[in-house]
Amino acid sequence: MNEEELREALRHEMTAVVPPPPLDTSAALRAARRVRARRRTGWACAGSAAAVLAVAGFTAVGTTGAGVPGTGTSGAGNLGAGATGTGGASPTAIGTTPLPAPSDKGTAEPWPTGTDGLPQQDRTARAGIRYDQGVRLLDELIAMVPDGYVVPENKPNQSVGDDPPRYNQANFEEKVNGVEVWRYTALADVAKGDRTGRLAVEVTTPGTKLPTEPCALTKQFWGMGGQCQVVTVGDTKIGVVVRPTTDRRFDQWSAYRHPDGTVTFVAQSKNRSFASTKNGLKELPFTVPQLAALAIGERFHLE
Amino acid sequence: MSDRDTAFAEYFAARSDAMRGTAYLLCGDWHRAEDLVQTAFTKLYLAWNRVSRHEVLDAYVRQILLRTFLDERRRGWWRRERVGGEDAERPTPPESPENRLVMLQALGALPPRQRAVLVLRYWEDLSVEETAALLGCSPGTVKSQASRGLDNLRGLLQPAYSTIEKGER
Repeated sequence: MNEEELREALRHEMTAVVPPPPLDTSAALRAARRVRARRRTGWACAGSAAAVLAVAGFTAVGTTGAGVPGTGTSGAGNLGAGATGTGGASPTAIGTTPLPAPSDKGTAEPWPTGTDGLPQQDRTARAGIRYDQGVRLLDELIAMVPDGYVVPENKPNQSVGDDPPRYNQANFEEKVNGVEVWRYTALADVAKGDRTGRLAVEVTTPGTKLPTEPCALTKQFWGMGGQCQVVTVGDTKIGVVVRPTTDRRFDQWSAYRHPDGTVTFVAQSKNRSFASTKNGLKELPFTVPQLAALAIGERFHLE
Repeated sequence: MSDRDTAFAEYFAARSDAMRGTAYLLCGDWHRAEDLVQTAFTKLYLAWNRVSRHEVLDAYVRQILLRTFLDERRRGWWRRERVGGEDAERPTPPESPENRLVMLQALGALPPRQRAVLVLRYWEDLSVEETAALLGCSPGTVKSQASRGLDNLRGLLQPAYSTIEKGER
């Protein structure tokens, strides 16, 4: 079975099967409204609680000099959780802002201009300065591999589909306030004897909407989450995921947002693939402090 | 009905069945597929003001669908409900049920991310880059996962699939 045969097989599968009746639009809308109503009620309660606590705190401070830090923090926490939940639209915005309807009028921006002066075919730059930045990132990654490890060479004409030991890419992410945001990724296998792990660096240029809080930022890496701790390098706090939760594509990774807004992720894994744990490294190439220091270093701060 | 509700209802009526098809291929169960679709559209409804461009609506819903599917896999739902399991309310397929069962079982036997890559690439016809963005991985990973997924399917479907295919021709 090749790609085309699978495509045909899936089409055949779905045309032959008899699906249940179409979904009920009214029921779906009612369900969505109920969730929205519950959320708004939650917001209102949290807002009221915060207001009550603020007044209580103000009154208490004004009258007795005592605050209500415990309950006050709790209320703020609930409000914050609501703000970052799925959907996340502010309650004031809902229902008051003119509602955009699906429309045929496209507003999507074209892909960035490629080296031939025409818009790129997709997100990936395959030549030019952006592509070169990806190459440079891979070079920097290989250059910082600790002594005792080697980075295997790609085989001649090896395709990305073969998951080569050395890989780099440059992807256009989005345009923010007229500025293109790009993401550069470099992956490198690191071998010691007959055991192989993997390192990765990803750099996102200024303008990214990634979080600013160290651990919130670190957990965003490839959407993997993980157990994060804050490591101090000099005066700077770096988020380091020291243990993955369920998504085990990497074992540890760090992240740092440079003052200019560039975000750098550095990741390491004992195994070259999360799907295979055979012949993985016995230990990770970097310690947690080293991993944190790599994220903050200028080596991976692409201009 | 508010403008928001009207627009949402129009979009739901137009796209929910297609999304349910994708969900069905991902999870192999119509009921679960409908739950996934409802979850995804509810989240879309909540975020309607922020998802302002028509062309990103599909991508947004698809992403929620996929993440919900993968999250539920992690929580162990898949261990309780299996692809190809008995479903009293499922309509009887009109022809060659063994073929579909084999295909669904083979898809269901793949690791969830590998299955998601195959469904997105060859059912939804998304590009490698679009699939990578949805899954939060690199395009290289998508390509390798697609390649491995096809290899695995090939192994799982032989000889059953090839026999059926040969018999049909």
